[in-house]
Amino acid sequence: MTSDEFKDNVVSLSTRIFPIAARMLGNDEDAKDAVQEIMIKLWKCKKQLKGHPNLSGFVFLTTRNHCLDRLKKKNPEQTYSVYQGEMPKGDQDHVEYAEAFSFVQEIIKELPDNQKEILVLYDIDGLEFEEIATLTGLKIEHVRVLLSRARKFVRERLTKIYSYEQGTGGYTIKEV
Amino acid sequence: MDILLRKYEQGLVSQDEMDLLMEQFEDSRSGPGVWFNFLRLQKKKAPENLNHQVWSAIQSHVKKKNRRVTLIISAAASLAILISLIFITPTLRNQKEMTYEEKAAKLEEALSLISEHNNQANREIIYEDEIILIYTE
Repeated sequence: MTSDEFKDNVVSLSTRIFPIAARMLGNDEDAKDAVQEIMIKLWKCKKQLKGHPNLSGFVFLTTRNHCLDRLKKKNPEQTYSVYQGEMPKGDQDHVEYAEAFSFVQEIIKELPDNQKEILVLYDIDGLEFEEIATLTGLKIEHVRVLLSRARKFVRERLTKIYSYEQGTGGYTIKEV
Repeated sequence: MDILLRKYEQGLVSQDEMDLLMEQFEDSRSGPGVWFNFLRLQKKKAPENLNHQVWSAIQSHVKKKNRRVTLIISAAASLAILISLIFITPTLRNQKEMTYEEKAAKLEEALSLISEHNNQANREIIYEDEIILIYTE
């Protein structure tokens, strides 16, 4: 792979791997450093990247492994959780969602690990099925099934917990 | 919308359909509304110019590496010159040094240059390492 090809096909993925790194490492500064380190690591093996059947999937896999290594170095005894449950940062309009969002976080945490990971990778990090398949080593159809199960679980739990009462302007907890 | 939500649940919606769902539920406080708003706010955006910054970091890494390679090559070349000075120069010097036979021949030649008319009885010869001094009257 030439320098220009690397720039066009690999470096351009920096903006897509950043959210994964930020979610895993917990802050934007570390994520930015990690993205640079990952790209330099990939640059060193750019000859092997030419003709890779799923280049973006490989880049995401490298990102995940690199972030896990960083986390292990930082705290060897801590186990990594796919979803730490960071509260979304929004403007004043979103403050009223805070309670609802905390329930959503709890629902995600209840998911089995494989479903949780795929839901987060697809719905939050914005990866494609093919990329998730490369990253997790699963077949695309299996990824789709796990995602579907996860979304169904979230929908059922949300429906169970919340109902919206027209006119009250807020959520009403049905059952917790 | 229900059909679209079912398609979403099965993982079959396209990006356009996903955008439509996000848009439809932007102000909704229903169950799907909570979910889609949560997803929208969870999505992290990369800093501006991140690609450019990463490319600059790679370029700087390459320059550093090249500088290191140049430094190593220079050090190796200096070492090679030093080794040649230590080991090869004495050999050349040794090659130039005369053998005892040659030295003896030179001595004979030098002695023959001294006039036969000189009184040999009044000669004093001093032998040094590489020099022979002959004092005559």
